[in-house]
Amino acid sequence: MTQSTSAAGSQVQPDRLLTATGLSKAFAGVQALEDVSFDVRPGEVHALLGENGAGKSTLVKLVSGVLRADHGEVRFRGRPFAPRDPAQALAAGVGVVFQELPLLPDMTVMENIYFGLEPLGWLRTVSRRQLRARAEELFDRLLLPGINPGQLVRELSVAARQLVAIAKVLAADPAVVVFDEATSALGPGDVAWLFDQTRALAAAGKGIVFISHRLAEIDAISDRVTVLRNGRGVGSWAAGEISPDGLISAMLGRQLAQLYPEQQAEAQAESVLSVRALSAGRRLRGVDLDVHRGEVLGLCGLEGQGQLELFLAIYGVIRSRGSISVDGTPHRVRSPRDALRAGIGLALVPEDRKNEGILPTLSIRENMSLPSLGQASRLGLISRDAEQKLIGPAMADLRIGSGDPEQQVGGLSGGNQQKVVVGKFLLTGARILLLYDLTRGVDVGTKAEIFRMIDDLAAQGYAILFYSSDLAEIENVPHRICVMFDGQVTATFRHGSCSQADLVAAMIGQDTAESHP
Amino acid sequence: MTTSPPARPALPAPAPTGAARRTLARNRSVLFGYLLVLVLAVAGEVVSRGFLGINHIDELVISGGFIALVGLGQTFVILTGGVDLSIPWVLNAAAIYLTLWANGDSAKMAWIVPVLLAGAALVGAVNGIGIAFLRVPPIIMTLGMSGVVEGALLLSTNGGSGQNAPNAAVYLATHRWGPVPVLAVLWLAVLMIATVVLGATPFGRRLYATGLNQRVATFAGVNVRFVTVAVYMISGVAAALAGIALAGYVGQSYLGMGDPYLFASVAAVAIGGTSILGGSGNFVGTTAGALALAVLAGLLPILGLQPAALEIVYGCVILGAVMLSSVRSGRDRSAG
Amino acid sequence: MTARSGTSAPVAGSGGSGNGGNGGSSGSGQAGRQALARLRSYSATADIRPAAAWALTLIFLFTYAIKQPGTLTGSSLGILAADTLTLAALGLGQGVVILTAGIDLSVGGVLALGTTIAATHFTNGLTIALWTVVILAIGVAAGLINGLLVGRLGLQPFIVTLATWSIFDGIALYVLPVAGGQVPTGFANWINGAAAGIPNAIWALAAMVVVWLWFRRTRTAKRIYAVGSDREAAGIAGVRIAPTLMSAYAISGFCAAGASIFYVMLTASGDPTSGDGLILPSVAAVVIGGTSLRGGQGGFVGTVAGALTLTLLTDVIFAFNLPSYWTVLADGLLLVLAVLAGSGLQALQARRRQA
Repeated sequence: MTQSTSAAGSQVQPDRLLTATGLSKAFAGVQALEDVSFDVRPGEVHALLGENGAGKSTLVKLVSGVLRADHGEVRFRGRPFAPRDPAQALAAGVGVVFQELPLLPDMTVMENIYFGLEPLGWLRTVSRRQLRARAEELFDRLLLPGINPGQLVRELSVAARQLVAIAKVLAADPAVVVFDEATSALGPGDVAWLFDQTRALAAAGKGIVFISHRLAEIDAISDRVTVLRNGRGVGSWAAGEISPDGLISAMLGRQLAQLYPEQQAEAQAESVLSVRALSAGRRLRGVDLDVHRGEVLGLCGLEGQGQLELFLAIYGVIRSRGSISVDGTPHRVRSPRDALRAGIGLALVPEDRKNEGILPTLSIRENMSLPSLGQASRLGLISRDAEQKLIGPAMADLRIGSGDPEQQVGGLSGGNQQKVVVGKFLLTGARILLLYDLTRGVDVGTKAEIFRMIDDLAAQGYAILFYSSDLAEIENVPHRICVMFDGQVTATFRHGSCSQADLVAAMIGQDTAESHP
Repeated sequence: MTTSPPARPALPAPAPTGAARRTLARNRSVLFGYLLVLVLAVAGEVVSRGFLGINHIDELVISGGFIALVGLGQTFVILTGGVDLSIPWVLNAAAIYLTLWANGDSAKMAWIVPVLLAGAALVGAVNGIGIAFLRVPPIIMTLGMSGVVEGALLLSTNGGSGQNAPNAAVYLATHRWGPVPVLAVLWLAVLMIATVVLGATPFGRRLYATGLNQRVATFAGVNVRFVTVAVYMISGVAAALAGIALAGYVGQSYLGMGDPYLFASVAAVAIGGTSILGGSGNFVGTTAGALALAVLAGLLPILGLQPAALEIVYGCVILGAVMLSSVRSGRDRSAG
Repeated sequence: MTARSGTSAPVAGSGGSGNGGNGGSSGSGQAGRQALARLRSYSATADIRPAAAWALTLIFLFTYAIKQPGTLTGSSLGILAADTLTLAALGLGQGVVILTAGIDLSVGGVLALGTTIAATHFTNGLTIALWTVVILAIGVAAGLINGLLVGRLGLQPFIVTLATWSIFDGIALYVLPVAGGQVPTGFANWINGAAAGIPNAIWALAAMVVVWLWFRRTRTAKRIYAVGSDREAAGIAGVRIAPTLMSAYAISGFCAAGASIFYVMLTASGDPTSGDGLILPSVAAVVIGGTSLRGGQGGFVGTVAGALTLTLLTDVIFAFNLPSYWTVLADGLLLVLAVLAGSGLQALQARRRQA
């Protein structure tokens, strides 16, 4: 495969909209970016790929003004470009849709979109009427009729928020648009809309930068792909010049034998977790489910179909009706403590991706022992010795970090952090693991580690309920797959007996021919 | 978990220096607090011979101890991310009811003290329930309860001050074993118990977890509501205890006894390096802060300055302490 | 993948009323429907809590009026307004700071400092004017100091303003160690006077409300709301955090200084301890008025109602011949109940919107 690297050097390049040359940035001793060069041509969709920590977000933040580069420069339309903040960058013509969706929750959609640029009425006050008119006009233009400009952002679903964030950037009609993980919260229909918008922008001569972990999306939309690894540029290829496997190797620096491990064992017949007629609030409307010993049961569905509520209900975070049984014994699960006592553990990554399973300023030891302090105490006092004996084997088995239990969890990689969360629950004697979107926003290498861990645990006899928003994972990892729609399980498939298209059909509520038990 | 022995090489022994260095870093504010106390005490001796005479030291330790005792409750509460504004009036109510009900009869203290402590625990429980179950912000809940306690006190006593304290209380509060006041021993015991509870018990760990992130703590099986109610109950009981001891020490009770202790309790906590956001800090630091405030209060009259100066100095000391501990934690965070 | 407009479920949460406009219908019907949708969406998103606060105020007012005839006359209302002015002014600034998810405990110190300076320097028209400017400037300076510590050094507002409160209180004690001093009677009487038949105190309150209604719609105010709503998002949206925080605290200092002028008019004297008992009530007025301590929501319209309610509560207790000790108890209960009611109403409103 041929590599084409962007030309370094400081000469003005009128055929490039945006050029970053020799960018370097370090944080407290960690080199996040080293001598990275990148450019965007008018009319092209340039994808940026790399593991978490490869430097993609840093590059985006450098370009948009959130951070200052230590070395190197950025040029926009041939001229030096150093915006003070993303708002200034947007005004100059470079718009970034950040993955964190930085919207103001207590303000309305229209106030967010035009923040700082509000049309002024008399005495320099903001004119609400003009604001609304502009917002409605924008939504018409972008074909987004489903969003109410007057609605408070905090009441929107995450998908809606993502659309608003995208609209906010597009409203300014920038010459360069960067989409950083802009599809992570969107359902298939909205992803299609985004792709339409992207193609339209490219056709209009804009330059698009597209960052995503979903290789299928990259494949579908991009003209050029650049891979970063460990803060350095690895190479750039035109679309079609490199295979997906080649891309993965470039991202990881090695061959990834297999993303999805061969399933080690069949699920056993014994049902460990039984849920009947489980309902909660408006979203969860009566779910029946069984998870068997040694089984990975996959769950998928469009956003807001009750899957989150299902997990929270089984774990006792929200109140529910119906029955939950472990090993045939019904349990009253009114709080996470009840769930832990029943042998259930939950690792949940919410939509905003702030890991709800770790206390970053504390050590691995303190994090992992937290639910099991009773086991680590003698006579009412915590015994360091007992604590160490408790977590030592778990740390070794799961291969967490460098082996130092005093290491701050906040300094661990994302994959290791997830392992701390899972390990924490294994120590409580949990035999049922609820894993909710553990791989959201996670890079390929870490995903492989997580899948390996899940497979190991299943082989050891754990019962695992596994939800993911990534259909490729759902297709490949679990033994069985349940699809949730409108608060209920509407279809069940066996591993290997369905395609992603079947899954999508079930997810959007189309009548499936029959469920495949 | 798997029962077969792992086939991988043994874990390397965890490096001891990393842990020790981190403990030191976390507690630098505390060390600085005690250093401050030392410096001030020495300055006092330099300016006025006899400042560090045993009698005066006893006085300083005792007045510092009162601040530390209310600071105990405040520390526990602030560690969970809250604040207790009802401390002054719980203290005052305990003091006044003690003197009124005892009416000079020390024997009655046998039932009065438990009743007062139970009542204070009840007030704390109401605070905690409002905050944990009804989601009322701590500032609002404890402020409201402060008004309720004050109002109830005034109404039940018709605005009268208390009376003289019963002899037993006075005796306990002012008696000494040689050079060591009984109260000082009490304060030391409280310090040790609180430090052990915070640092070495499951409850303490869960407390810190609650202060760091309630949601993560809940998911990890911590009963956040229980922890919250417990810390406010502890705070109430500590305030009542302080009120009873103070009444004994001063010999009587009066309205307004508790007023200085709100500012003092928060200041002591802040000087001791505990973050107002919760999740980090400890009671050893608060004790340093309490002693520093007490020494300062003892120092300034000697320097011939007015009460105005004391206020200004308090403010500056707090600012200084907070600025220092924020610089430090900023450095830790980037290195961590 | 299927095209967006056809099959996928609507993505925009559940903002039912906002979907007006879908489905092509004829012009005028659509315009009418859009207007109705707009009205409904506005009333659905408008913050209900200030309205609830005003309802509470009116309840107290009429209760008082029933017990004490003659309350609803102009001059009586003027007295009510005069009694409330200090707290309302404090609440105006406090509210702005609370919008940034902060708190300003130093308003008590600024108030004390202002009253002591006024009581020792107001001698005639010229000195009044001059020293008023000085006092206001001191208030702004005090606020800027707070804003610097909170905005640039990133320290926590509760502790910072606790410390600066102590410092300003100390300075006030230097200026006037004991309550006393004096001011020209003409000056003090302004608060009891009237212009065009309306008591000056009511003019003052109204002026504050008008200024707020204008300020609330400026971009500066939007930035203040943004910082309180989500600091990180505000930064990304181009808000300069430290200057915005400094503005908020400067406004608070300015309002506290203004409050001190009202205080001096009311009591015709200065008092270095005058601020101590007004700090927490200023927070109470803001919170009762519906502003959230978490920042990003609320406003002065509610705070005025909160301040009036607190003042009226004292009056009502007096009118019912209850011992004055009931005041502090009732204040406490009112505060907690108001907050509970406020969050309850908000939850109801949100649930109605999701329906």
